[in-house]
Amino acid sequence: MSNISHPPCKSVFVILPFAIVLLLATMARPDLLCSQNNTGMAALFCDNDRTIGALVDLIAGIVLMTVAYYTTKVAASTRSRRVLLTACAFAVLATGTVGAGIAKLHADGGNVAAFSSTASAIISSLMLVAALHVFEDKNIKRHPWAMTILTVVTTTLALVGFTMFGSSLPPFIAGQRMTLLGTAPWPLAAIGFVLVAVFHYRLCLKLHSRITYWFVIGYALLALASLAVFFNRGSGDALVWVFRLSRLAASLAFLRAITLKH
Amino acid sequence: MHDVTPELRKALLHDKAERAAAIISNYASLEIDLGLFELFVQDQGFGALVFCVDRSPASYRQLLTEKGVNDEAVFYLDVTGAGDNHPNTLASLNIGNLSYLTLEVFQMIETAQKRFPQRNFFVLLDSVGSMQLYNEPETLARFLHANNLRFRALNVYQTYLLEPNGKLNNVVRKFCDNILELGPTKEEAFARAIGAQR
Repeated sequence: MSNISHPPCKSVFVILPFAIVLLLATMARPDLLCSQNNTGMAALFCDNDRTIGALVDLIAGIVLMTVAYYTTKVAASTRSRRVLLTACAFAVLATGTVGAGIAKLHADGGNVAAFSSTASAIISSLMLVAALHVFEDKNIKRHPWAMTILTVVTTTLALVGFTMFGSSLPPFIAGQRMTLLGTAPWPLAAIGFVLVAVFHYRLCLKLHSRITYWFVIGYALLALASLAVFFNRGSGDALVWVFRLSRLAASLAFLRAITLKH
Repeated sequence: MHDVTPELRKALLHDKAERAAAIISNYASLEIDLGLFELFVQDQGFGALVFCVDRSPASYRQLLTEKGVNDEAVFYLDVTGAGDNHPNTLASLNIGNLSYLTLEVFQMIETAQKRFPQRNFFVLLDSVGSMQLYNEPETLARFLHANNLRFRALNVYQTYLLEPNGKLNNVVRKFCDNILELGPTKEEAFARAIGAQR
């Protein structure tokens, strides 16, 4: 197994820039970044330019799909329940992220994008926490590929269903601006990701595995992304971009973990 | 305990001219020992000559009994000083004196081949690393190389268990006919890294 030669606590240095951006973006409120006529970089931080936001979401989603695919392959090979649940969590997160990206391409898809991101983040974080507690003493009996595909199909159908019946979206999501209730699931997701990151950090101390190291970074970035949404004040807030970029960085960290040489 | 027997079955004893194998692995040596006993003694009907450096003959016998491997033709050269009185055990005087050790090894082979003339034998050396604690690497390398030639002359198959990056790996690899690297697969390593317990 590829081992890290430095202490895992150095993962903080990778996460730190994102945390600093999060802090700075919290201080620099949207009115600083989004004037009436947004141009240049300021436009990136506003909802006026949806295409770039959608592109970032789609890239992150596709990368997460790759991670889900590889993790399912590992689950099929090792018959581990924990790995299978992790694979399903990544599948949910990936589907939600891709869904958010697609929804974002439509002028009035903001609500669906918010719902897609929120639901996938909370469900995947809960699945990851559950994965830490599953019994590993027995081999999984169901076929892992079928389980992951079922997860993706179910998540997709749920998202399409909510898109078709837009009025059935929860009011705190379908509202014009982000509300406290609308962002309430995010700290829960953040707590979940932090728990999973701490578990993997301890595992990294034990195994000194580079794979675990990159997973710690990925989960910590997902926790940061969740916090960014919680603190954001609605359309145009810089924190939305902190969220998107942290999620993209997290997906790249997971990608790094799965592409490490044996 | 990881079962390495299928991997060993797949890799060893397929070539008639093969007389020595180096197994490089970070699995526990007991797991590989058991796999070798199952392959050579149980499947192929070989007798065995075991260098007992890290474990006493009694612990090997217990392992074989637990796993249902017939150990009547398994001989032990005991350098642990465990004081084993079994007829298949020869107590060695000093692990640090390789000249004596050589004499004792071949005395043991002679005894074993006289008692079981129909059987082929394999020698198991799973403690090259521990032997380095008592001998200079160069001296130990010369001992292994010279004995390899004698083992070949006596038609005794040799198996050496080596740790990854061991000091003598290059020497042993050179005179072995088959080099096998055993370890977790990429998928197993990945699963363990993300928290799978098996």
